[in-house]
Amino acid sequence: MMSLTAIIMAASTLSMASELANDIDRVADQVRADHPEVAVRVDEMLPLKNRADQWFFPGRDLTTPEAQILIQDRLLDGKDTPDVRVALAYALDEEHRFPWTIIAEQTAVVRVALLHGYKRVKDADSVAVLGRAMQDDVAEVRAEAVRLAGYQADIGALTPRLVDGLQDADLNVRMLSARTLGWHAVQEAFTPVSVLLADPSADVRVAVVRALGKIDPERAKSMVEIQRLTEGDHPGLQRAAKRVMNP
Amino acid sequence: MRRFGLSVMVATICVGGCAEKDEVEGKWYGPGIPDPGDSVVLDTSRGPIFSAYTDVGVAPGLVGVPNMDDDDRNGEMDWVQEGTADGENDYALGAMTTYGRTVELTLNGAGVRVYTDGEVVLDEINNTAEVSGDVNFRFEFSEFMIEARLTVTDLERDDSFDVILTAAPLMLNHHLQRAEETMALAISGGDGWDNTDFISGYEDELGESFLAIPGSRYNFDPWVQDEFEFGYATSPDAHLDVVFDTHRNGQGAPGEGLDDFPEDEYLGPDWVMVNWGRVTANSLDYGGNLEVSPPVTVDGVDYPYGRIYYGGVSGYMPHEATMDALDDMIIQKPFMADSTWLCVGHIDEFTSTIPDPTAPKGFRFIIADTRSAWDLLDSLDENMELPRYSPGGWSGHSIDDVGEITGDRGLRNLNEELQEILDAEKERFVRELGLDEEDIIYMPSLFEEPQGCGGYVAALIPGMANLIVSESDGEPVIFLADPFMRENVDDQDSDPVIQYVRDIFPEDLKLVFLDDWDVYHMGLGEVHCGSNVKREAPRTWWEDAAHLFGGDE
Repeated sequence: MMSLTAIIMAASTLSMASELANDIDRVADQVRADHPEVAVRVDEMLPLKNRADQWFFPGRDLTTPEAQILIQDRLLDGKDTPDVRVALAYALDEEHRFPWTIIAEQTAVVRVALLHGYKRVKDADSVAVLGRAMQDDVAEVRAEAVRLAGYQADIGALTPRLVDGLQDADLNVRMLSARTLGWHAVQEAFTPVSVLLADPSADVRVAVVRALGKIDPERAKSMVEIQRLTEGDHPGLQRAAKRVMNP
Repeated sequence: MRRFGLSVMVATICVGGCAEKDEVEGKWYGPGIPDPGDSVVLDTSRGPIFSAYTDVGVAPGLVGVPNMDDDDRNGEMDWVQEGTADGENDYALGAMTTYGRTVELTLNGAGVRVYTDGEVVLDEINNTAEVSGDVNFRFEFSEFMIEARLTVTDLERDDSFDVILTAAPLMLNHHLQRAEETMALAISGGDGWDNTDFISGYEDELGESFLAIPGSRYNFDPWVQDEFEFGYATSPDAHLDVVFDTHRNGQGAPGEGLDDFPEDEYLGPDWVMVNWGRVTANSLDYGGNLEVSPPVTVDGVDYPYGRIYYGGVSGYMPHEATMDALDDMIIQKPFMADSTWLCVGHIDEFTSTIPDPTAPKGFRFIIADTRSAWDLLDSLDENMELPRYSPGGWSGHSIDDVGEITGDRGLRNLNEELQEILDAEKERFVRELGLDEEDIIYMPSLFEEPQGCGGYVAALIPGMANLIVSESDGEPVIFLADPFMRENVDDQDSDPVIQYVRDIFPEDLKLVFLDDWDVYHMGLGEVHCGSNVKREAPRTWWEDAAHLFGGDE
């Protein structure tokens, strides 16, 4: 089945969304003809709830290339409710992730879910997709892109957008932008991140203290604002500040 | 005032109370108890109470169980039936000797009835009565922790004494109590999603004391720990098994998933199902977020039945009615720790306790620890393949080898931040349970942000802190998740994480590593989340936990 994956991935780099969707549809038809038992399994499967009360599609048989293509097809078919399509999106492995052109056409919750396919793919294409998602109109999508950027190997190309994210109206985007810049110890981000020590959200401030401690531990340690936080009332802030003082 | 001229033979009640009588018939109760002479005496299963000896009368005093079960299975709680339920056996017993004098009884408090000869002689409304002769009493309580005062006055001698009447608290089980029955839901034939190995692992070790719940009957809802919690209410004269039937409702509406399992399996005489408030549950209301420590001493105070703990933070915590009800039970004084950084948010995901007779306190506290996990993984060959971790989607973590874990900067940063939280939580448990460093076992653990959880985390290495303490042939057995940190999934002996855990656990403790990968681990739970244990209840709280009652009124 290597050829199926190859077809889809080649299509993803060359085609527009509609063409790619047609390609997936065509290949899925072929899978249905060749593997009717897999088609029945995927087309008729119902989600279960995991322990976090989210729909999911468990089953090792769903990781075969045939099943993966049919999952792609079912997701793009759009007949399922958004929460079920989210579960379908998370059922895809990284080899069957969608390009941004297709992701961008989905509803916001599905866009968020489809971005997950880029978490463990640490390359320039992933960075590019996450960069596009960081400009999404919906805050949840931007936040997910910023969060997943933290797991990339090299986010140099994303740094300007992550710094912009520090000014985002959404607190999760601000918080996760600080976190990602901290995780990657982006030196030029120290000053813009430190501005958020005055953020109204305590969650953001916790992420900022941690980030500063990672970007420049000595400079962070010398900051009076962080020293004061070691005696503050907020347990998370106090903890993070103490960690900066005593790494 | 109601007047009763009763003459009933006194049944000598010696359950746990009376020493062998001396030659003075009916007078000698044992060392430390004075001779009552011909004073009015109320004999109870805890011992006698009379004006010159009221030790047994102070709180908790005469104790019983709340009559909340349905002994005659007529659909009505027995308390509502006012003593008419067939097979009723949930009274506290007392027998009074009056030497023919008239005795006045006064009851202060609600939720208690006193019967003689099957008739109510005292309740909240008719709270005074006179009796004479020898009288057998039955005391009935409406709810947990109901407290009332019975004043007994010998009208002819102007002599009186008080007896506190207390209904047993609900007590939840801890891991040092003997396991009677261990259970999990069996799922088979599900397109690569089954727990056959998990169930057979239990059955092989526990045999008849393991209950495989049929999955098809309960919508394949595997989270047996979350749905309910076993407990009990007990007294010298009666005992109730109790299920705290959480508001989870099978993660849906009433009747869904495992919701009906406790009723189907256990509901009957001397069983009670309880919960508090009418709520739509959030995850923090589930049973996996409610645990009990073994017996501890904290700041000089003994908690012989341990302390309840659950996860939450200010603004996001279990339902207030539940927390209030657990607080009201007093003996297992609850406290809250922060579990809200977890996707599911349950306290059992990163803490547990195991029995260890060689430990100073008789147990060890288990807490998830990322440092030891990194140390261990960094020592391994980074090219070691991890076939169980390799699939993507809902079947694995898209991680092909050890190097993909150890070389993941994001994962290291994430776990470093989580360790900061774990360190703070460890300090909280040290404080709240009076632990010392030697009481703690650090379970190697790594967390990740799984799909659908945003910035919240779940176990990456199957969470071994999420363990079950059961027993086989009278010896404790620990069931915990197989970490699958190895190339050959069928060879546990080659797993360095398993070897590490065996090395840090008590040497004589049997460990069974169960394959919980597909159904539990990938569903964001582990062994404890998917299992439950019914345990043997100790029956001495009125003696060894009496000091936890605020006062004797």
